[in-house]
Amino acid sequence: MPDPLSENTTYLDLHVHSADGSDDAGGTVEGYLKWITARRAHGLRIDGFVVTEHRRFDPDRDYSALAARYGAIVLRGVEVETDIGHVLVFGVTPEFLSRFDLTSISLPSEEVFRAAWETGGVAVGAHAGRPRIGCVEHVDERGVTLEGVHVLEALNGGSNDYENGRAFDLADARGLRAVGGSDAHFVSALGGCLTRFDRAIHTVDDLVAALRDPAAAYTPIYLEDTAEGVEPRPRPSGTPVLQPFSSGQGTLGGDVIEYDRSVVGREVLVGSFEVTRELIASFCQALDERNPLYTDEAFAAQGPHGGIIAPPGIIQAVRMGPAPNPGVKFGSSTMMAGQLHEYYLPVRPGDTIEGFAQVREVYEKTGRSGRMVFVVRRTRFANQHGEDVAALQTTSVHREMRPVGEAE
Amino acid sequence: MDDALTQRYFEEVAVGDEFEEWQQPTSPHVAAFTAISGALAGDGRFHDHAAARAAGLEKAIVPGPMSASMLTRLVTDWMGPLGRVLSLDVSYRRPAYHDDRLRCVALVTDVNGDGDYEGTGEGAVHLDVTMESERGDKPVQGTAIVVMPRRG
Repeated sequence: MPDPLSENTTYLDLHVHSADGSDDAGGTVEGYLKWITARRAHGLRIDGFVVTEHRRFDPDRDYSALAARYGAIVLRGVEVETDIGHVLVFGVTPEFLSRFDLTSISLPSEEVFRAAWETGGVAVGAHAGRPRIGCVEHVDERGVTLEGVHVLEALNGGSNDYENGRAFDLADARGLRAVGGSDAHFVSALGGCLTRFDRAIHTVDDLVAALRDPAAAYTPIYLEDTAEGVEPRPRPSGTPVLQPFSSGQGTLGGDVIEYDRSVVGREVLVGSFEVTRELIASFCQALDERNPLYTDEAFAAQGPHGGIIAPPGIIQAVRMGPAPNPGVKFGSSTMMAGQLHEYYLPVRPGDTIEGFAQVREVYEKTGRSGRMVFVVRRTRFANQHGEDVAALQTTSVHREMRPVGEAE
Repeated sequence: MDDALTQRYFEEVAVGDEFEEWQQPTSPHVAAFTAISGALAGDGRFHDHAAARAAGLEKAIVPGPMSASMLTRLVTDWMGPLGRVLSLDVSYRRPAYHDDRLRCVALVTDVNGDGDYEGTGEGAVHLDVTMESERGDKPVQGTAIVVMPRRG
């Protein structure tokens, strides 16, 4: 295993989200470290990563002891949201934190870049080629000057080749430096894109010093290209092969969102339904599901449950009565942004399932469709014996969506 | 589908293992799924290209819970009848459209070594689950935790 502490080259993934601090991430820091071990066993080179949670920096967190157990480096930064898209900040100091409310989704970008520099850190334009949340579009459409910007994340694991190509094009045109980060939200994405530094990086101070130094040698790189003897892939092209679909949605800032805070945390009965063989059969038909545990009485009778059970997904497919509503006054459209399903006990034909729902949280952020307000609801499902059989946590997103083809 | 009959055991699983299923939800599949739920059935974005475009989408989309169910099925088919899903945690990141050919793929990211899941003798396995479309998008990304029996 390469020891990052003794090398003069360091491969760091500069953009990683974890379940410790990012609402939409499933990867844990230890999970990422185990994945590094597994990737190294395949001859790939990754020395560590920087945890950059969305809109949040906890000064007391420290992953260095955990990282050392895996022979890796784990540093910390933050990903904030500004009027020219998302921005990674490395070298986050108490003074930097005192100047901004990190939870804001439309921080003034010039001030963020300047404050990061003045407080001894550095800010980097994140996933620069991504619509809305990367700076390329803001430069193209609004003539943003990129005052105080030195570095762009041109190679981002969550962007497609076209988006990354546009970011490289902008970096070239403006004489900006480029770095790479995976933007991993899940373990297996870690390190997909990273940055090779031709020097040892052990600490955030080392990282910041490299990024602030115009003469420092560093370059974005794909993880597969870190294997010995591999010819690096050419940088992606900013010329689209197929015109990507974009309906040009959304704005980034605006007024404070109003909603009814009194419903948050109050659990209410939202309905019940009986699990029938017919319901199970229709669910299986919709999914071409032929698992005999759900479809074959004779097989299921011999199986672990002594009879047919319902497929795990069936509870979240059946809608109950309306869930508690915080009445968010924003957006023309509501979509589902994510779901967490938890399964505790099997559900059988003849069971009567009651759902108890509550609103857990309301918050906002920005994405490729502009400003978004999220509502997190959790429903607990209990059977006729009073046992909890499953839970479903749903995050829905309110957005402003215009019909396709209508001008901005 | 014989796959779901084949039992897989914890000892046979290693970090980095990858498995996949292809799905192609057609409009009738989506209609059958949403018929189970009154609320989804009434939402034009899941059934009608014009209604989807009016809502800012390229065309009619596959409901999130249906995509989640496809990923659940991928995992249950792989595990076999004695495996159990503990949790599935997914983000719906981009739309999946009717008739898209969707690759549902799972990657083993952790196995709990000598661990014994809650004294049952089973082993817990952590998976990353992803749905990819042929346009190169990843409409759904997430994680699953399952427990699997041990041999012997």
